[in-house]
Amino acid sequence: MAITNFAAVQRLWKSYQKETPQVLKMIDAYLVYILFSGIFQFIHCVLVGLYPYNAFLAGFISTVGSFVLAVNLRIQTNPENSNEFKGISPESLC
Amino acid sequence: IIAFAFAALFFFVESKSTTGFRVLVLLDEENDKNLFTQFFHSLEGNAITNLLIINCQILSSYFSYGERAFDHIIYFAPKTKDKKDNITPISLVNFVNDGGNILLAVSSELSENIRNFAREFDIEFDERNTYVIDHFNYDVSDNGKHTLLISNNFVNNEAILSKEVIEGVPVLFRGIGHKAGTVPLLTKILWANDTAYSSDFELLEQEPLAIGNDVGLISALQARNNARVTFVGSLEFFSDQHSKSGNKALVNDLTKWTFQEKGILRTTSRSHHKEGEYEQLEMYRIKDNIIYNIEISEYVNDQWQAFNGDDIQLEIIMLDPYIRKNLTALPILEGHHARKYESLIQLPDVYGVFTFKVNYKRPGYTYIVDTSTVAIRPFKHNEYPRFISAAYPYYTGAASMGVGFLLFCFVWIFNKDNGKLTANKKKTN
Repeated sequence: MAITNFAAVQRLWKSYQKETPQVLKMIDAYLVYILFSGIFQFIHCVLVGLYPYNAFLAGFISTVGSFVLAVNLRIQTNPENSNEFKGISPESLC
Repeated sequence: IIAFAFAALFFFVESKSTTGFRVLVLLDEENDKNLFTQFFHSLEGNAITNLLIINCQILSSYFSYGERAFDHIIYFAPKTKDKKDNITPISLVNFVNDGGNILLAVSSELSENIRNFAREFDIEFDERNTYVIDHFNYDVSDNGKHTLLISNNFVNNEAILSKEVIEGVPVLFRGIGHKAGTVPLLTKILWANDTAYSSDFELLEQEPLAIGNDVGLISALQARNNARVTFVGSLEFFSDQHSKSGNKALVNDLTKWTFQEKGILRTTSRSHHKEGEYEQLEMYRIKDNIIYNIEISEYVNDQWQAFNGDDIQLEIIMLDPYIRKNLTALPILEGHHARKYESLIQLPDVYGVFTFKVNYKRPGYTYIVDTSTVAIRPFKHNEYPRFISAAYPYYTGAASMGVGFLLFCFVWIFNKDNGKLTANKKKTN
């Protein structure tokens, strides 16, 4: 039976809703927020031009940095990865 | 050589000219002075002159001890060929370069020296023994050769000629024509009608020097040092027999203008300051708002009065003009002898050493070139705008990052489910 693309996305979304823990969903929401902020600044720069280049760099790179750090936190708190982070106590992640 | 020591006529009357009152009148022969008695009388009556009328042969030099010996020269000696070293056309040009004014009249018997002298001023007189001939516009008292012209083609410039002359009766002219060049310092004052041409009385074999309106009868040049030289193609123009009709009034205007009594301007003061302040600084900042003003007065009827021009421009120049702006004339106040012109300007976006220049050159008026030098500096580091309006999205983005992180921290730390995660882990361990 052929699984169409849309059906695959729907299955992914349902599985995500059901199976990921609450904390990971919080981090995901935070990540999405950072992503939108970064995309918005980038599109603004493309449209309006590079005039205050320093300000654009500051805003955009702050979003990228926050994104990277939040992704790291998600990786370390994901229970499925707990094998790789045996050295870190769970209390340090809270 | 007629070597008469001629008695000079000295009249010490209060001078009207702005540049001096020593006038030298040069004639071919001593007796010529009887032809111009009314003209000389009017000069003395105008209280202009310390008048020295001499034969051209007697004069030794226009200069004495390195300075001009006279302020104005009336050169009524077209026939004289100079044989001395000091009276060449070059020495006359030096006289003009030194600031002296010349009123020069020639007849058809002009010498080559006069033609050379006139060429220095871009005026080409026609050959000797030629006349300006007009078969359609000659006076009734003409002797049949149609050389006594009637002309009312005056220049419409009130700095040189008064309104009565411009709109008044035509003048009588018999003499030689010239072709005025294209130098902008030159002003044609009187020219012939369409039907005139400049020639001797032979049949025309080649094209005349000038025809129609190109035949100049009276032209004048104001040099860059404001010395004025007027060339009149007819010596008879000043004579007593032609002093009726419009000649007398035009001669009056010509002498007044040439001898710096008319059409004279001067700047009495100029200043500049930042808008809102009063002090004149030597250094301004880029994009400063500056108020520049200059006061100009005109010499009218022996008094300095407020000038009536309306097209004075200010240029802000550093090798090239960056800004050129018309100055607006402020209303004339009572008792003030100068007109104040003012303008509000924003200085250019470039820093450097600039010149504020008022360069006002109009035909008939003295040239005004007034400069002040000023330095313009760039912004100091604390004069830049604090927030750039185009960068507000980036400011809000960066701020939102910080705020979002704080909120996330709070949510993360005080989340009840965190315990569940660790509990799960402990179970699986």
